[in-house]
Amino acid sequence: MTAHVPKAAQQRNSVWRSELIAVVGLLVFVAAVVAIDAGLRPSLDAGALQLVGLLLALVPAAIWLFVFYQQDRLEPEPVGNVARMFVIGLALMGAIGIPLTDQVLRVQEWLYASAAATALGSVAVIGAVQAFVVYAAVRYFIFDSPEFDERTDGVVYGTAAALGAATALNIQFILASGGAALGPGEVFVAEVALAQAAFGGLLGYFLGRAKLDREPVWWLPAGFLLTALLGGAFVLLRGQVDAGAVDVGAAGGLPAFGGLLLAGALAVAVTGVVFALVRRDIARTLQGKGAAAADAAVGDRSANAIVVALFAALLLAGGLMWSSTANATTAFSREGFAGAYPAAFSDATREGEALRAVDTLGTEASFVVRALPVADAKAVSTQLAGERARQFLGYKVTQTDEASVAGRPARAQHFVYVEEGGLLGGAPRVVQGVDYLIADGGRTVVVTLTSPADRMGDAEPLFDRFLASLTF
Amino acid sequence: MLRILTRATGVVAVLLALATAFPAHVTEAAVSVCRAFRATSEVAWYSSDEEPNVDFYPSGVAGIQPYFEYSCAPRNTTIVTIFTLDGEEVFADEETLQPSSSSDIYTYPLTAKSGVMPDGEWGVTFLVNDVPVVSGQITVGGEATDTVADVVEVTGTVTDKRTRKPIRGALFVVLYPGVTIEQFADEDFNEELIYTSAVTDARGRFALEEPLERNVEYSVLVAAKGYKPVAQDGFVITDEDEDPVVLNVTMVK
Repeated sequence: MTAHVPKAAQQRNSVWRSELIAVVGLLVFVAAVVAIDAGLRPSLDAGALQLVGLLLALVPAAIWLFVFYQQDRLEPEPVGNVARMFVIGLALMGAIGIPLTDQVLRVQEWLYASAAATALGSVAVIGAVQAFVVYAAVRYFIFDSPEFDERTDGVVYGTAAALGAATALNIQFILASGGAALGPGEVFVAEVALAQAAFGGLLGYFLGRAKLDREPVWWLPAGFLLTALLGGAFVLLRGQVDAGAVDVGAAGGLPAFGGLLLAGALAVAVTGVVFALVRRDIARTLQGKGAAAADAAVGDRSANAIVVALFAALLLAGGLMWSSTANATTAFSREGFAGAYPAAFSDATREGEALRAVDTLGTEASFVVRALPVADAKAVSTQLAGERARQFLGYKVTQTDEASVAGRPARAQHFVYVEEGGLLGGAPRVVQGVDYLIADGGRTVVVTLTSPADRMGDAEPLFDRFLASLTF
Repeated sequence: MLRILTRATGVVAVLLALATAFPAHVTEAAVSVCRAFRATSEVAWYSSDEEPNVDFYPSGVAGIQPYFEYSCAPRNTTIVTIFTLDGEEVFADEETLQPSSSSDIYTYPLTAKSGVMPDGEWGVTFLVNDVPVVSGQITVGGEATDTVADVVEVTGTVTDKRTRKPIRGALFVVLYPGVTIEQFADEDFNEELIYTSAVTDARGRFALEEPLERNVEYSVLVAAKGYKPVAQDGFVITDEDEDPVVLNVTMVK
């Protein structure tokens, strides 16, 4: 006679073994790719590089799935379910996650604007989106299935969904970069996959207990928040261990492994912790202490609603940070002029000017306000043309419009010239600009925007806001 | 053309005028806009007749006197002057500067107790708040000396660390010696603190407009849209580095 062990209390050591083997296998594969790249220096054209990159982006998930099914032969999880989680994770990240972070919240544009922006962007946007993709895949597409009947199932499905999400991120990385060098590219791909798999497994553990143990209402939100926090912390830590650098000497050499080692350590640590927690839970169930209920009715709608609300709140916090970063201004008031220029600009006012605000590290645009003791706009135009003709090549007014500044009629003169080397050295470049000439008693106020032609699109909205704030 | 190295700001001019009119308490307010020490010349040497820019000192000279120009001395600026003779440190002294937003010359005369300076290769390094900012050498007893700073041209490429693809439009900035990244950020990235800079072309290449001096610590900053900025204090080009120096800059998103 054998004791009956409920499925929820079954140990499945093969799952844990396969997790660890997959981590080691992936690291070995990455080492092989790096060695081939460093040793043979394969010369691939852009198309081939992209194709190879896309194939390599699929490798981490392929290794995990292969090892998982090799190890999980006793009572294998239906391959369809695991594959479905993978595809759903990939689709959700590709269709919602990436557009949300890159196109809607444009996190890459403001992530490094300040320490607060980096922290908030990493956790509230990147970490939260990645966690929610895994949550949504498991919670809405497999949670209610009768196949989800063991504690380790959450880990398996969470990992599969996370690997799908990681694959989407890696495909996007390869496509957006137009291909990547094999060695460092594969290191990055493996980094993303290992980290995502770890977070997916962790969130899967929370989901598994939520289904099988009737956890209190805060349980799932706590799991979601923890996963988002860990995801954000990983982004921050990776930025520390795998940062850019200025080195003397030609490019080349082996890629940096700091981020990969961090991700590998994270994957092993999270797997170990989740393994220990599941063992403890099973032991408690067998002792009758737990509230295991494999057939418990699912549908902790309150917990789900809180997770969704939490996700929305995190995104809102990220959006507010984006807004405050993009719209932050520095007020000025001098020589009868007052207004606010973008906070990222620095004050570089010269003699004879009321203001010169320069976006030194961004668009390289300049906003200049000055008053010329000439009442006639045409004479001012001539003076400006003379100044610029002496300083630059090919100064030309391209268009003249009527406009309004600070509630007064103004003449807008769009111009273009070639800067020969210029402030920042290098090849000559085309600079575009616009002068607003406003008659003001016996003088003419000139408000000028100049920007490298290819950055004008970024500078113009900032200048429009500056112009709207200007009073005199 | 923007000329960041040569222009005077209206703000500084106004503050200087105020400082002249109200020297006591207004001076404190005036220097508050000047928060980073800035050396604006290399080291040169006065002759015993205080003629500037001598090439060497004859044997038997009683003293030597290096100097350099600076444009800003914030509060609590401490200068340490270290003299070496044939590579060995022989004398060091420390002095706290009076705060000032105006350009000035810092000089340190060194005289021999015996009345005769030993012949040899003399060197001097000026440290501002423990950071080397300028250094120079001169020969006592020689026919000619190398008083011109040993400078090198700097070129390089900026690439994505993960794809090794060039980054177009990346800005490479070198600050004046003695100005740290933190000070640059504190002053809202004031372009007056930039010694030289360059923007990468479509192949990620750049060439600095101004050469850099060997064995002097610079702070460098690289910024590109969508990438994490790279900031590095204490960037040094050593005697072993070739001229021109080729830099390999990598950035991550």
